[in-house]
Amino acid sequence: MTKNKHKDKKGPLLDVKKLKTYFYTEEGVVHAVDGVDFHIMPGETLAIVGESGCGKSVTSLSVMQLIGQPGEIIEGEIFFNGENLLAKSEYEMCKVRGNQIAMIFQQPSGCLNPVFDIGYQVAEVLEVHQALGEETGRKRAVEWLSKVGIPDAEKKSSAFPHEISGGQAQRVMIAMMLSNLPDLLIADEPTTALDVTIQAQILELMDKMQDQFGTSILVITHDMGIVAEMADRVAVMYAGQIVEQASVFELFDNSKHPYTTALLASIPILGERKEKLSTIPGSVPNLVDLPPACRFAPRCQVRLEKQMTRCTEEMPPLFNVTDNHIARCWVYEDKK
Amino acid sequence: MKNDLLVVENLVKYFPIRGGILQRVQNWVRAVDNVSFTIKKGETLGLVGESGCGKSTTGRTILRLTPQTSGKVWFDNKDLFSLGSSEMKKIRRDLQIIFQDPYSSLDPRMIVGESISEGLRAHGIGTPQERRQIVAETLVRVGLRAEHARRYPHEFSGGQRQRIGIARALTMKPKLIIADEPVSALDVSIQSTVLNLLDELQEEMGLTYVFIAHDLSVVEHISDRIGVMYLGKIVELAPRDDLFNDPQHPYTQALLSSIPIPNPHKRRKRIILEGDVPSASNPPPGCRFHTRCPVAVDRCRIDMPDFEEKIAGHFTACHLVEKI
Repeated sequence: MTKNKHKDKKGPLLDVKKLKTYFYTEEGVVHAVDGVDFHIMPGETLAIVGESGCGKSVTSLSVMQLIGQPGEIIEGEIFFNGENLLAKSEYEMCKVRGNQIAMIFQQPSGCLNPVFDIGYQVAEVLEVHQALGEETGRKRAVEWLSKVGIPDAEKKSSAFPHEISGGQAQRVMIAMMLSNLPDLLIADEPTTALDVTIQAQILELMDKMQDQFGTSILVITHDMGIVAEMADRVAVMYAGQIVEQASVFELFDNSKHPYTTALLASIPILGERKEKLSTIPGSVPNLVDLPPACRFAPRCQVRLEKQMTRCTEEMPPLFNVTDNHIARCWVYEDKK
Repeated sequence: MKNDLLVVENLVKYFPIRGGILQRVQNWVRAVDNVSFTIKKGETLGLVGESGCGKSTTGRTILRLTPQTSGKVWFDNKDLFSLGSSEMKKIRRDLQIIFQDPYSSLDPRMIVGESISEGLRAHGIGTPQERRQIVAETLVRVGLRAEHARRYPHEFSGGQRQRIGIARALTMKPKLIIADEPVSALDVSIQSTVLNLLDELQEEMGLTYVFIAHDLSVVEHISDRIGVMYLGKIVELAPRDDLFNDPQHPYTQALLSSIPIPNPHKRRKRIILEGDVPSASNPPPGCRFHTRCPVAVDRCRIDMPDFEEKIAGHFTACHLVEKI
C-alpha cells in the first residue's frame, strides 16, 4: 500500500485556492462558488456549514470534479497531496475518486445501483482500485460490511438496495468508500435524510472509522449540532463565499461575522429555553448578478447599528481577526 | 373535559396491504395504534417521533382526512367521527391544517389570493369584495403584503410560501390548527421567523396547536406538552419541562441524547440505539420498543405495557417505570 504516506509531511492534505465554479444558465451566470479558499490537514475534520444554495455542495463536488453542464470550474487550484487536481486528466481523476478521495451523499439509497446486490457493489470498488479478483473482492466486501456494523454481513451482502433501510444504505456507502482507505472522505449532508437515532449511529461510525484509519473528513452540513459534534475547524459559507473560518470552539464561543452570530442565535437549542427566537430578516440573495458589495449587507443588523456605508459599496476581503480566525466583514478592517 | 378542546381516545388507524390476484387484504400497517391524549384550549401539544411512527397519520385521522379504524375524537364536546357530512363541513372551519411542504401544498396554477380564499368560498363566507379584504388583511398579518395576493406560488421563497400556508389556515378563524412539520423544509434562519409567527398568532387569536415534528429542539421551543411516538404508539406524554428534565421512557432518553447539540463544549456520551425501527406491518410482540431498548427485560418481550400516568401529569408506557 502506497497510501497514507503523506502523514510524514507537514503540509495540508487538501488545499483549495481561489476556487470559482459558475453555472451558465438562461437567467445568467450563477456564481455558486465564488473564490473559496480552505485547507484540510491530515486526520482533521473540516465542516463547511451554510444554508441551502450557499454553494457548500458545489464546493465539494468541485473538489471531486463532478461538476456537469452547465457548470464549470473557471478558476482556482485544488492541491491534494501536493498535486493540482485541476491539472489532471479525466483518466487520472478516476484513479483519485473513490480511491484517495471518497464521497458519501445525502440520499444513500439513491447512490446504490438497484439491480446489483450490496456485496457486489462494495466488491466492485475493491476490484477496480485494488485489482482484486472477484472472489477476494467479495470476501473483503463482506469484511467491510461487518466493520461498518451491518448485522449478519455474510447473508446481508446478497441483499438488494431496496431490501435495506436508509441507515443501512448509508453504512454500505461508508463501507464502499472506506474500503480503499482513502486519505479524504467528503461527506455531503451524510445524515440529513436519516432519523436522529440512526443519525447518532452514523456519526459514531464515522468517528470510529476516523480514529481507526486516520482519514481526513470534509463534512458538508446545515446542522450546527453536527458541526459542533464532529468538526475540528469550521468554514461558514454564505452566497458562494466563505464568510468566516475558525476552530470549532472559537467559532461557537466567539463568532465574528454577523451572519454566523445571527445564525447561531436563531436556532432553538435543546435544553435552552428562549421566549423568542432571534431572526435574520430578508432572504438569501440571488446568485445571478451580484453587486460588488458584501453579500450579507442587505440582511445585516451590525451594518445598520454601526451605520456603515462601505458594506454596500465594496466587497470585504477576509480579515484576520485573531490567529487562525478569519472573517469577511468590514468591521474587522483595522485588524488586517 | 370541560376545558379540553380536543380529546382523542384510543385512536386506531390501520392501512390494509393488499396483494395477490384478488387484491385481498394480506396484512395491516398499524400506523396509529391506540393513541389517547387531550389538549386544552390555547395549548400547544407537540408530537415527536421518527419517520413512520404515525405522527402525521394521527393528525390526518383527527381531521377525518383519512377514515379511522376505531377510536373516538371529541372536538369542542362533539364526537367528530359520528358527525354527518354537512355538520362536519361546518366544523371544518374550526379545524385547519398547515402542511410540511410549502412547494407542493399550493396549487401552482392558482394565484395566491385564490388559494387563500378557497376556504371562504367553499363555506360561502362574505362577498367577493369582503373576501379580498380578508385575504389582504391575513397576508399582512403573516408578514407578507396585500398585493402578493395576485402572484403565483413560484414567485415566492420557501419561507414566504409557508406564510401563505399559514394565511390559508387563518382565514377561517379556526380554533385548532394541526401543523404537520411546518418548518422542516425551511432553512434555519427562516425557520425561526415562522416559529415566532406561529407563537404570536397563538397569543393574539387564542389558537390551539397540535405541532407535529421530528426535530425535538423545535418542538421543545413551541410546545406546552409533548407526546413522544414510537411505532404507532405514544410512549411518553408530559409537560415540556418534565419531559426534557426527567424523561422516563428509555426511548425518550435515547432520542434526547441522540440530538447533536450546537455547542462543542458539550460533546457527550450518547445512548446509541442498535438497529432500525421495526416495520409497522409486523410490529414486535410486547413492548414495541423492546427490540432496540437498552434496558429491556423478559416481560417487555411478552407484555404490552399500559400507557399510564406514572407521575402526576406524566404518562409513560414502560414496565420499568415505577408508578408514584
